[in-house]
Amino acid sequence: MTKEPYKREPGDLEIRVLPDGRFVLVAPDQELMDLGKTITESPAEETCDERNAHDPAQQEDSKTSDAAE
Amino acid sequence: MKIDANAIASRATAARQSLSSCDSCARHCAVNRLAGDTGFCGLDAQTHCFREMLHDAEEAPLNPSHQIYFSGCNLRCEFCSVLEWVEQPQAAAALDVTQVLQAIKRRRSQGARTLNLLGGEPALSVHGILALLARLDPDTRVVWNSNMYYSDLCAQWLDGVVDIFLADLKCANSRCSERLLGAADYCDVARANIQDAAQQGDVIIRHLLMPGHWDCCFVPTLAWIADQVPDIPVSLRLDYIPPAQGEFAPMTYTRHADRQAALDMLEQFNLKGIS
Repeated sequence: MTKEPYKREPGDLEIRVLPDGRFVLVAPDQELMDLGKTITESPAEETCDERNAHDPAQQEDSKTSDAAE
Repeated sequence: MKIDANAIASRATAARQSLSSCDSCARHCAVNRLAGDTGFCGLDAQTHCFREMLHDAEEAPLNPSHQIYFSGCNLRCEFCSVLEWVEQPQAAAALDVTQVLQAIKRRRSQGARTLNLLGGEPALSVHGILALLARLDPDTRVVWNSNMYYSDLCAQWLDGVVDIFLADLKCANSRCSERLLGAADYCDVARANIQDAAQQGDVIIRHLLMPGHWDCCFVPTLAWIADQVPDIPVSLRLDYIPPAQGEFAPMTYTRHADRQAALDMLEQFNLKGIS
């Protein structure tokens, strides 16, 4: 593997994760922009709740977690 | 005042013919693009389009904005976010006018308020863009999203065609513009075109705050605007993204403190900010 940073080619999309945890979409196209919007507009707890609603095992974990708090 | 479709079509024809000795941009390459020759921008006589999308993060008066990206540029900014399409402009598909007209119609139905022409640099594709605009509804609000490094001839073709010039004014001196953009004469050309554009239509000046270029580029740019075109609203872009690699471009992100200081500076110059 080369040590040089990857150089984008036409058609590539780039997402950067910064050291502080933020992520940057570099010149996003429509699909990447929509994805970014979805992530930004979905608070982590809500996303977790939505996932748990479809997963009984996760629901159980969630309850355990709540109890611990 | 905007010109009618027939006049735009005539200009499109003239602009295309001029590609036999190209003078679309300030590099005045004079190559014969009609014969397939390419100059600095690497474009042939076709218009190449690599993306269209509905964007709601442009300046507020433009949103939602239907962006159409044309490949090829007359600058070589290491920090360009679409550098791959600048370096390989012909990798993008040739413009299919019928397809783009359908996309414009679809995006308008989705709420697009403006048609935003950008790149790369759209001036290099002005012949194809004019041919497209000649077939649009006359009430379409056309945004020319440009580095403003184009020729007097191109400026003439745009007169009466563009509603809003979104002028991306970079750098403020020849040393920085040569290193960062690859064009020592950039500032003089871009500033002259902004003053000209202000006579033609509405103008918004964008300036990207670059780490390490406060005294040499940021402050002098605001000073020039305040002195020469004080009524033009200024859109500060504070979201510089460093390139993965570069020789002259800053390699850090803009600090929060500098962002706030930049907004304060805008007020000190009594300029009208827009976001």
